[in-house]
Amino acid sequence: MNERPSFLLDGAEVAFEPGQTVMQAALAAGRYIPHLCYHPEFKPHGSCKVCTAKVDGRMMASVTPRN
Amino acid sequence: MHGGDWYRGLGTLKSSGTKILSVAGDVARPGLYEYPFGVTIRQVLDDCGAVNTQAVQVSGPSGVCIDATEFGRRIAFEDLPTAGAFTVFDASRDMFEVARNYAHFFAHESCGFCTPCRVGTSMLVAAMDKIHAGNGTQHELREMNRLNRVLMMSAHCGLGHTACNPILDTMKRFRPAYERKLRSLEFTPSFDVDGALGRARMMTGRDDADAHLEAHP
Repeated sequence: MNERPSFLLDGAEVAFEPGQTVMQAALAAGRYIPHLCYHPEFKPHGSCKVCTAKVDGRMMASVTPRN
Repeated sequence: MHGGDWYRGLGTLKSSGTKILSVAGDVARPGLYEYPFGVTIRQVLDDCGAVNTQAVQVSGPSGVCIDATEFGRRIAFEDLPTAGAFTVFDASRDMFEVARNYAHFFAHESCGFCTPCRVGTSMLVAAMDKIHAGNGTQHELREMNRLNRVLMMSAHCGLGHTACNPILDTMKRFRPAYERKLRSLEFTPSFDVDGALGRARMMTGRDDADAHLEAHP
């Protein structure tokens, strides 16, 4: 078995490729995390904090942490 | 000269060694004081010649503000951790104005990178200035508590996380300093509707009871 790695977003599993941010993996899986300053064409900035989520128990912008 | 073991013997079990405090404010002898960890606030106040002390801000604006009932507390990681700042306020100080000054400090220091801190510290200033001008209500006090939760959760760095500390601390310990500045302890609208009708009264040449909102509660 060669399963893709995944994480839980609001209780539902989201698969990701190593190196993807939480935001990129969620969008690729068709899950929406509200965002303003993130745009797929640009490098993640993480300043507006609209995409703030609890990651491993810490609140952080979903665009900055990498899987 | 004495070695590490000797140094380690100073202070408390969890906070070994000494701490240099930068004592400033309403004291006879401001300056740098070195103490073993575990020294009480009262000891520091006595040594620097502080009288009629109302409050001490430990570790600067982002730190903790304590009142006279807490001067038995200790400088140590297990009680009052500090970066070294030790600011003394005597009874002549208005602790609301102290907190308002800190609010302006944080708004000025915010780098502006993240939205919660850039906007939040300015909202904090707006609320404190509104209370200062005599137009504040309980609403402002509640809003500042709410703002604190937003900043704690979403600000990018420690400056935003701690920007509300001096306000929450002084609000908890010196609440009368806030409440005596409020327009009313009960709810009152921040916008003076009757005052806004003044121009209309002037234009119509009326000033009788029926031309005032208060006549029709």
